[in-house]
Amino acid sequence: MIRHIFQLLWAKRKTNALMMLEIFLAFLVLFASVCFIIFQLKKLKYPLGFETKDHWMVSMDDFYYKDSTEAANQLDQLKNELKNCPLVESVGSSNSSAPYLNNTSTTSNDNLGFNISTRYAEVDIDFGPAMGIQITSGRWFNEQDHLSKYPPIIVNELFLKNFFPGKNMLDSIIPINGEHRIVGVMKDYRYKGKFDEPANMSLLLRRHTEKYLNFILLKMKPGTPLGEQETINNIVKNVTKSNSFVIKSLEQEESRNARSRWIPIIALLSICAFLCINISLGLFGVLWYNINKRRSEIGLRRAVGAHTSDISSQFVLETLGLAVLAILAGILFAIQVPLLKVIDIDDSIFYEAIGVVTLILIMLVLLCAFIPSRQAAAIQPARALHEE
Amino acid sequence: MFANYIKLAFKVLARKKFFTFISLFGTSFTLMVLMLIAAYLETQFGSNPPISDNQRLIFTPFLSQLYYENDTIKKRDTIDQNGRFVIDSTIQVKRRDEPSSVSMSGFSRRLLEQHFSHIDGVEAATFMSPHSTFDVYRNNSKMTIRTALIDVQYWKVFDFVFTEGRPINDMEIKNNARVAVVTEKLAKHYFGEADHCLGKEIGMDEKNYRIVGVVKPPRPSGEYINSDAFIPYTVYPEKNDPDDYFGAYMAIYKIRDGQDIQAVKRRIEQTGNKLPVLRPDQFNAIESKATTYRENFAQELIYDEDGSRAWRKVLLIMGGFIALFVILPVLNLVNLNISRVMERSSEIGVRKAFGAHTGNILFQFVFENIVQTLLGGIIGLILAIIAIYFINTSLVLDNVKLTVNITFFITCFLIAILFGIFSGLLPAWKMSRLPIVNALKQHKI
Repeated sequence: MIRHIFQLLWAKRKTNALMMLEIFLAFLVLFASVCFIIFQLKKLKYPLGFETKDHWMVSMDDFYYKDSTEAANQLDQLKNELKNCPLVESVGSSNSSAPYLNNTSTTSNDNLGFNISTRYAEVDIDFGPAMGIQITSGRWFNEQDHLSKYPPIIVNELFLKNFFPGKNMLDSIIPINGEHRIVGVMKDYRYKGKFDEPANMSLLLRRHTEKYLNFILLKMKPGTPLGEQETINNIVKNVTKSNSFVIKSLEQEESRNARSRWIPIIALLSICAFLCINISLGLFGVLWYNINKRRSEIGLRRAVGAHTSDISSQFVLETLGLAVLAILAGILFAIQVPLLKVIDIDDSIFYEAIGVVTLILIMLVLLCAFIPSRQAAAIQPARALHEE
Repeated sequence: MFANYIKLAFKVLARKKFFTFISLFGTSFTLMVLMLIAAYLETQFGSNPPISDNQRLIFTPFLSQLYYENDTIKKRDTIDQNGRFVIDSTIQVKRRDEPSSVSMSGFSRRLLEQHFSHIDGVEAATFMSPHSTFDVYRNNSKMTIRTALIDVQYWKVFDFVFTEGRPINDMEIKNNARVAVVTEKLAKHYFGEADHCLGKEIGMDEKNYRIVGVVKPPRPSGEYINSDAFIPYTVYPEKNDPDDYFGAYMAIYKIRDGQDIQAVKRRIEQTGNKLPVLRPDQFNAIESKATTYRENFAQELIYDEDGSRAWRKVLLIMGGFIALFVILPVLNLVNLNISRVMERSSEIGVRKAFGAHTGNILFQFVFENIVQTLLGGIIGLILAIIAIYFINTSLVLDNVKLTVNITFFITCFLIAILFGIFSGLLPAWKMSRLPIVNALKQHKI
């Protein structure tokens, strides 16, 4: 049976070659797109690690050039006044590695004999509770930490998994920007948003009066309307005697950030959908036409006793054989990407993409082959032969 | 003859509606996507103010101060000298390839003025800094205003379109005048109307600025042009250490017509690399990278230190994807058309029997195909215009505004014709070579 099908395919190799080329190219395009989409969507399953709902951030620009004492006084006064504001539940401070700012601070060293590299943010003692940072073991910073011999550090779970897998590192001293003692492990703090690649992250404790902690994070009372930003605006303006700051809602920033990442995904998805529809319509048309041309052949087979299911399965298998050959060629190319490590990301994405694309194409081909084959099977032998 | 061909083409289209639908669906959607890409590229790379001369622009956004670790390689060797062993060691100091510390930032204005003002082959050089953003509350709605500190040369490098007023002039900059050029969008937000704003005051950062000019907001994107208000740099003098190289400024150059942009780019980079090292204990090298407009665009998409390499990569990826994306629908059409050859065989046979050349038939079928793709192109164009409207109103691309203009129409027309020729050639060639006898025998007329 299978040999018979390949013989039929070979007999019409010129027309079939073009069809195969089309399926093969479609495989490559779909493979590239699906890889990108899986790569992006996989990031979504990791938790953000902090809360955005009813959270606002005040970014103040010009503290860097201010006199340190003046800045400290202003930051202290600002924090107190914001805390006393009835709309605000809690107030935390951060340096410029704050949510959705696209700033990155990284530090790395090989003092332990292997390379430790991590992103870090400098935050004050109220930052964790205000942002809803989840501590999975150990504790959040406390007042004594400011005075302890080794400055404290909180790292995320990925950090431990990457550098010290399977070890309990609480209270260990590790070299990161000088020696720090791990006091706690947090779930995560993906301050660049949900579509950012999960990364090693650590938090360092600073006092909120340091002038580079000029990003203030506010946990507002649930349901505070965005219009109240003007109230916060007035408080900040009165204290800093300046207008160069911006108040943003973290929820809005997250959706804006997510939107800019969803756009290419949706664009690619619609292009893929279009290609699929286009290819299936094309396949359908060609098959339909070919079957109409082979009426006499079908009629003859029916006349000598072939069952309707024989006829339809012959056409479905013919198309399937064609598609399988083309897909195999596509897999041969696609598999080189993980094998040769062309792109340095998790290999499993490529294998998943190959699986998904193969499935999509086989389904499409079956769908396109099914209807014309049913039609072929319905041909009355007497009529088909009579036409001849 | 053409009238006949067109008539024939439409007759064929109307005959098999299902196949016509398949062809038109594929063509129109493909052409729509191509047209959208063309519109985007036209917006970014076409001659649009304020960067009409974008192929003559060079950007110098960053200065890097680096520290390269030196490896001291000590090789100990003993040699036999007249029966005595003598220790002979060589010491080699080698600079590592990768810097151990990199500090990257914008330039201080002073440094730019001292070292980067006079570069050979440059027509105008502007030093600007994207300044603060302010929240302004008017009529119960919040507005975030982006401001930029600029100098007089800014208006020579960028050709903003003024709807009212004039650029900020030399006197105003020298006198630290509180004047501003604002975009139409900001004026509309702030005053409720974009006209008659000259001389009005706008409050930003507790200071009032007199508006001297109103400009159209830029269509392409880029942080060096995407500000809502432009103010003289002298209003905010630099507060950093006078000797510091780092600051918030970047330099943008417009080179003279006919200059080799890569040569000027290298000259700018060398000027930066030759700067004396400022803090020898922290850094032992200085590098500055300059990029052309295209390279700058590419670097925003993919990270690569080398601008021209980034641009080549973007071209390769984009070109490859577009090529694949176009080839598929073309192949689809070719497949469909080839399998439909037989339908027309009797017609071809008759025409040939009456003396038509292969070339005539080839031409007729390619022509028919072009008519068909043009029809698809028109549908695609309508779809593209609707899509552009949605993209612009939903602000998907932030501030980038896609437009439909003559260049756009011509590009679309060309795209459609090329598409028609490529998808029609192979089937038409196959059809035109049908032997007369077979063609006539096979089917009843």
